[in-house]
Amino acid sequence: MENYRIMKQLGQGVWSRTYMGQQKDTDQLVAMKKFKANSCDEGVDFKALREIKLLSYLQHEHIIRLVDSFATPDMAVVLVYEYAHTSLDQILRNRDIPLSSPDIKQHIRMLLLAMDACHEKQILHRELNPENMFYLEDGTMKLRGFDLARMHDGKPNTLLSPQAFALWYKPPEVLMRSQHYSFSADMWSVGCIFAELMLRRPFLMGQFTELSQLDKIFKVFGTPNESNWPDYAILPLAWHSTVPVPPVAAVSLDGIFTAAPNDAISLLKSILVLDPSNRLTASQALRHPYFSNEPPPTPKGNLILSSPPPEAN
Amino acid sequence: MTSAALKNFDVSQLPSVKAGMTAKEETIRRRKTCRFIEEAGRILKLPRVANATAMVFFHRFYAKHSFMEHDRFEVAVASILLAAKTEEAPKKLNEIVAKCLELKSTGVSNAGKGAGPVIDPKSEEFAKRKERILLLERVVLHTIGFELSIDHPYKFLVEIIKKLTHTRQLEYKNPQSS
Repeated sequence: MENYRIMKQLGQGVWSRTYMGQQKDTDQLVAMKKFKANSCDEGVDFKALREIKLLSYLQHEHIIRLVDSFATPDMAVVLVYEYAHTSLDQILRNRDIPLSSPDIKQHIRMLLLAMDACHEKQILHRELNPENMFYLEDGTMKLRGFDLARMHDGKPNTLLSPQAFALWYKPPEVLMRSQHYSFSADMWSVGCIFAELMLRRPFLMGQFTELSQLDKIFKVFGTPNESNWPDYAILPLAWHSTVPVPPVAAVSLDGIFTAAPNDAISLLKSILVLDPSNRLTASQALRHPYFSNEPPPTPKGNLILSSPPPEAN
Repeated sequence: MTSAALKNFDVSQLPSVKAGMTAKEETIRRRKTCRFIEEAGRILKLPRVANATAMVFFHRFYAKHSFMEHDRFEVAVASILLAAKTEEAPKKLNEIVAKCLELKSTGVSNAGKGAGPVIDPKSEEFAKRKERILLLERVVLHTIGFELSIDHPYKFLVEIIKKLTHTRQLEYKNPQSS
């Protein structure tokens, strides 16, 4: 702790607080996450260890770099990350920042590259959303928020918690309480972010409850049935017949994304699929013609990350 | 730090040997403690990978500290505690400390041959041990430089063995089918 100067608090989570700090020797800006010392005395925080382990294993251009980690005398663990200047959430909300088609292509490409790196190393992220996509000054996107991430060997007997994921980015199988979801669950969130980039607002905004989120999904993609999702009937929630009757048919995405080019919609349609086994993987998505077609993605250095300096706030 | 430290491995440079212990004694203590970790892991029903990781943490710890400086039993328990969390199989601290104290008083070679003396989790001795183990967990973490991702050779061995047994089954089956 003595090597860093804390400048201000950036945020507060259930288990941790984040601060903006500065390395005293180098003046380098860093983000610091302090895990609260747990009062129940189980020793060093399990979630902190998990994150340290995953991040040191996952070194990649588009994944946040862990600069340092240490334990303080009062049992709290502090993780020190490289400092990122803005997040996709802030970019999307700032109406002074234009987002062109080539810009969107670059944003989603960097996310898919990060995702591919995670999945290749068998890591599930489980909390993808625009707030966890950070940007360095040079436009490089850095994925962070590995609080809920975990190794997943793909063995069917490993149970996963349905509590992960932010509501609007939560895949239908997890909403239906599946404990056997896999890498395709992250891809649903990727699809939601892609849609959000094009619409400039969250695509599927359920209101507070998981049922309302499911309802939103089914209104667009149709209710699950034997043909669009053969395995849905074995999911825990399906047993309790919470699936809204009467059945609803899928809406065409072309009608929702009127401004988007055809190849973008084609990619989106192959990612946002109810049946997890039919979603594209990150590496398949990266090979989609959308990325090789014109226009090429904006070079990351040319991405606009903040509004022009004067009168900006 | 560890891979570099082990590259030019020199027994005389081990902290315990420097502090006056013979290299042979050093080895015996390592071996005994690993036997302990193995047995404790079995009792605690830890996955094998957590056991192996605990041993790696323990070995790395005594590459930097001497056996005279820190009690090997407590370091072993701290390594188990840390490894269980690292390998996605966390156990309650009280359970780990209780089972390990029990195993220590029964002795590894007598384990399972009848109940040893049970240590009261409310006793002062228990609380003291627990506190020291918690402190050591952080010392271990610092000593290993937060390097938690440990690659074990076992999975490669298992793959090779699978391949070998697979070929043998083929050899065995072929004469029958012909």
